[in-house]
Amino acid sequence: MTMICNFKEVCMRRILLTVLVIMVASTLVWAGGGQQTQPAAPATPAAAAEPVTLRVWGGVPEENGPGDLIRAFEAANPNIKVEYTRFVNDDQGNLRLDTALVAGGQVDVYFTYRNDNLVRRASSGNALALDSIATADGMNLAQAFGDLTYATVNGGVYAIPTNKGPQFFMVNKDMFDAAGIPLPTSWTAADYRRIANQLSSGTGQDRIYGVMYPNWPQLFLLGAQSALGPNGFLKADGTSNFTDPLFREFIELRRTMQYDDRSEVPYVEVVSQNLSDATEFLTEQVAMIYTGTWRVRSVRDLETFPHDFKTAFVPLFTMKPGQTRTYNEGSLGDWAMIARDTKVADAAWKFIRYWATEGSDPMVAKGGKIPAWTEYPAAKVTEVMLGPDADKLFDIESFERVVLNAPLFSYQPTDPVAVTIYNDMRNVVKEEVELLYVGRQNLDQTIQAIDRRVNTLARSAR
Amino acid sequence: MKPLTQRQRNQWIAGYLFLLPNLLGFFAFVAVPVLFSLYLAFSRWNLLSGAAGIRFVGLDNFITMASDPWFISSLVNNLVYAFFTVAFSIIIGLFMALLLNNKVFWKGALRTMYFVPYVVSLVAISAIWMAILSRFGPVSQFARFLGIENPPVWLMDPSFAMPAIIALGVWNHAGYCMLIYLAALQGVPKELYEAAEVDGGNARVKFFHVTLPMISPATFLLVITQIIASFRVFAPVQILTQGGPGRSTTVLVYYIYRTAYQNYRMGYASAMAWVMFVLIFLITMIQWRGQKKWVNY
Repeated sequence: MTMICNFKEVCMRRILLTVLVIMVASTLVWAGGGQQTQPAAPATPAAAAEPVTLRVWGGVPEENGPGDLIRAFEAANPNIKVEYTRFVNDDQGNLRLDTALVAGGQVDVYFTYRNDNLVRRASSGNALALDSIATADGMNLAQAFGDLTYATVNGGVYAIPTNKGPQFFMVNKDMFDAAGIPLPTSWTAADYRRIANQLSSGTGQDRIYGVMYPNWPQLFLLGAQSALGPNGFLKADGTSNFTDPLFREFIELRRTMQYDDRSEVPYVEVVSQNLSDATEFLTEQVAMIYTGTWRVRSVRDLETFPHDFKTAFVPLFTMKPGQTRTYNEGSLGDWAMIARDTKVADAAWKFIRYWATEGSDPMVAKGGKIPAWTEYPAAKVTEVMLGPDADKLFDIESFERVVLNAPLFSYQPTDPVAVTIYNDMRNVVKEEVELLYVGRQNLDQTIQAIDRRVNTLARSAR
Repeated sequence: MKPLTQRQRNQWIAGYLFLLPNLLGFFAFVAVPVLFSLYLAFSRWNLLSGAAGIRFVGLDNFITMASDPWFISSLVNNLVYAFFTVAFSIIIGLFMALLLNNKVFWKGALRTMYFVPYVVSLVAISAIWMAILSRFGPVSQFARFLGIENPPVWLMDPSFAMPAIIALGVWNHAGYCMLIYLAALQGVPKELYEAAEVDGGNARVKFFHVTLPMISPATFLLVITQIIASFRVFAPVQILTQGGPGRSTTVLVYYIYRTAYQNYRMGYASAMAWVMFVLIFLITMIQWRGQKKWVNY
């Protein structure tokens, strides 16, 4: 009995071992082979007459615009067939796209929604430079789209924007009128604090607040970054710039308004109750929210949010005297890019050019996008975005002035070190400011802690 | 050793061929990724740079960990969470089981009520807790009723955020512990209680000298499975506190997730995952060794 048992065991172990060795070996061979077949250089474009298939990855559901756009494009270019794959634009969806890009040979055109992802994808060799292709096609990219700092990596432009996404304050115009406050067209941080105070009233659960922010950690730095511009949280030598007084001032401004003035909805309430700025604003619990173009849809949704006041738009306030430009948390975006290893670069360019320029109507109508293309008529966007009840729901003049016609300068990072540590920097800021809010440390300690930790991050990223 | 006959050999080959599909799946989706992550633990790899971008860096990742405030906080928080969640789940689970093991009204209904939190999705549970703990929610109202004028914002207070997450974990797991204990209590022979009574043992003696030793295998099972489960806590942290306020509720899986899927630092994330594995493995080994002293079969 024991003999057989032993024998069986030995036998089983051997077979298992053999299987294991074969499996590992074959995986290695397969992996190695896969790598070899990956093209090293951009492939030559296919001949124009041959029918080609274009594999496009985007984050917008097909029924919200891309479907119509693709049908129109295919009708105009019968020899190009477009296959659209939708990925959800979150951590997991981006991971899926990145995996497909790294594996190679699966994607021709893709969309990138965050600027740091754009820099990462372009600098790691997963995108095709577009400058020469555009020039050959008779297009001046800077003229057609404006500020392309974010699409420029190592001197080449790697993406074209298909959406203009500024951020701003959406305000309850009726509350402003009732308080006799004219709509600010340019204002300072002091004006902002005073007005938020004037618009606040009530106590306890019925308190009406002047302003509310989403819980994004980078908004603890909003005023400072909007005055300093891109990479403002790092000095030129790559060390932390958090000792700049602007950071201190703005962090203190938000704390004061939450805890002393009580004119801003406390951050701890926003997080711990998962408060939605749409609900608070459209039920008239707050007078101003910091938001972007996506909120227009909520204002128009009278079924979910019945309301009868007018929504107006106000740009960011300035933080220091003589500040002429306020950089924006939003930016040009929805970047169309071409995969480095595509075999159909010509068709891919034709498609992204069409999407970004004359083909963009369906994206405006169904996707709520504002084309970044400078020649796209503003009136058309107003009409489509604000809808038939625009007069009743919106202050159209301020929409066009603040959202459509203001040139958009973003403060999102462009420097490679700043891009690398941007996520961690935001986490550091979130943690330290939370400790400030709950009284575990004072302002000096908060600034010192952020400064020290960002320096550590920057050092490890260089 | 007896040589194999041709027939026996054929039988074995056939047997292993039947196993092959399963083994293939196991290797492709479990063994290879696990081995790969072990290799990554000693490398620096940004996912976007492709397979060619993997750089072997020896023990660098582990050295970084030792001075990484996020990792250290996550580890400490995780140990605190594991200790309190497991202890309270088991004690409360046992208490509920003892209660239900007697003759009580609506036994079935109560049993279901206690067990329901275990089968409800953690996402839904977290949403409910968010409402319960909000400023004007029942917990704060109760605190006001007790005369506390300004009750803390529970989930955003460094002293209360972790206890809140632990309470949620206990609420979630106590029902499961109860169920296992109920089954174990059914298995305690009546004769032992009778014998204890004959010897003049009171209820306390019966509990500590009959019940507890007899259900010790269930306790052992629960301690091991609950510790492993508590190291995997993620959803409540992601939904309720995002690791805050400060670093007071970051836990290992949450930080690993952030490192891997937000920052794409696959090497460092793998290294942390392996540290977590070794930690759980060690704790489990110690338990196996220790069980001889207190578990009765």
